[in-house]
Amino acid sequence: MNRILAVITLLATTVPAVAQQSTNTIAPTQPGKGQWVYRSVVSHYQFKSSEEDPRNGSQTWWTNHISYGLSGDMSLMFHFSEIWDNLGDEDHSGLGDGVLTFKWRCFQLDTGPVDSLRIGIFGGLELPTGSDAFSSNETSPFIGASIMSIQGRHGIGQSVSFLATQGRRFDPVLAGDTTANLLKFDTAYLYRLYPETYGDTLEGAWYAGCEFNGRWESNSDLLLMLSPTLLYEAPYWAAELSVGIPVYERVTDRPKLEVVVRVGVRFLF
Amino acid sequence: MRISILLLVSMLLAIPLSCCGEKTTSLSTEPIQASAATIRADGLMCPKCANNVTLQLEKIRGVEDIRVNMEQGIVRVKLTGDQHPSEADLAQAIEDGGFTFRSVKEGDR
Repeated sequence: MNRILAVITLLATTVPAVAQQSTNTIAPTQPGKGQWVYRSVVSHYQFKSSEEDPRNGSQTWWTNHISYGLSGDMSLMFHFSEIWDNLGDEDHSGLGDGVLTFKWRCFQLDTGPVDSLRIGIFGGLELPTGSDAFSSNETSPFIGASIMSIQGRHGIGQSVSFLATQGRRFDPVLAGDTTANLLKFDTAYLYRLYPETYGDTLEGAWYAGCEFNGRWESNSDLLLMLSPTLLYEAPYWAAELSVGIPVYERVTDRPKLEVVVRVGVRFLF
Repeated sequence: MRISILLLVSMLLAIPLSCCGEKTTSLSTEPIQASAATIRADGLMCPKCANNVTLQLEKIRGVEDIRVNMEQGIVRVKLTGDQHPSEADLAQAIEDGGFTFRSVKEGDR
């Protein structure tokens, strides 16, 4: 039944989709110097039993990101999550680890009023700041790179990152929760649905697209996922919707991911 | 694991580390005399991205009524008060917003 609902949701959101920074694919974009972006995303993960873990259930993450532009091409970001878990016999909730990220857009080639090719590198630390059940209890470094090309109404982005996992969550359910190192690779295509051309003043824009998300872990776990997304972007705020559906999944010692639905808002100030 | 990290770091170091955008080296630092200015910029990409231009220009004393035309890459501003900004001030605001400054002309055309 859940699979049917997921397919219906996928079809319903095929028209909708992404923006310059799609939901899961990190883009070499950032707030301008001295500006802030606040982003709040609720992610609902639905799990089903695997061969080695009979549990069904869900986790809901409320993630808050705050980004600050240090200069026109460098930024700092911090995000943390409140997590609700109903896997197993008892419900749990608590604070997840905080993540500090530094991003540098090291290459920028703007070829037209809205056309751009940008490359960024980023790195940071996952900090053991969460509550017991949801913290890895260790500091884990990560590093990555992203590229994005916008040409008229079309955009494509790719990001790859590597997390050298040092700790382990008490009850691992997602990629990166165990001591296995994690390689994330994400690709996003986006299309500007509206407006066809921009007017004489700034106005909101609708984007539709699809992401391909990969999560490979050094214990051979692998998740490949398609995520149609929809984004509306106004000058001062944006709203996003993404539905991630696994197309291939190989996990050990944890339940399988059935679907993840993400809804978020972003504010520029 | 160490080999993986070394490979990743090597890939990142292979990325060109210099920007390709035009730099704003020969612009006047004298206050603009006209009551309006028209700026050309590239890479405005999306409404929220382009709004960084508005927020950067709003910080400059004497700049008002900022209008961004993304399709044409044109930013029109009105200049008021005793102290007008210079061409270099306006160019720096575009760069601080994360975009490529192309030119600035006095007047609103």
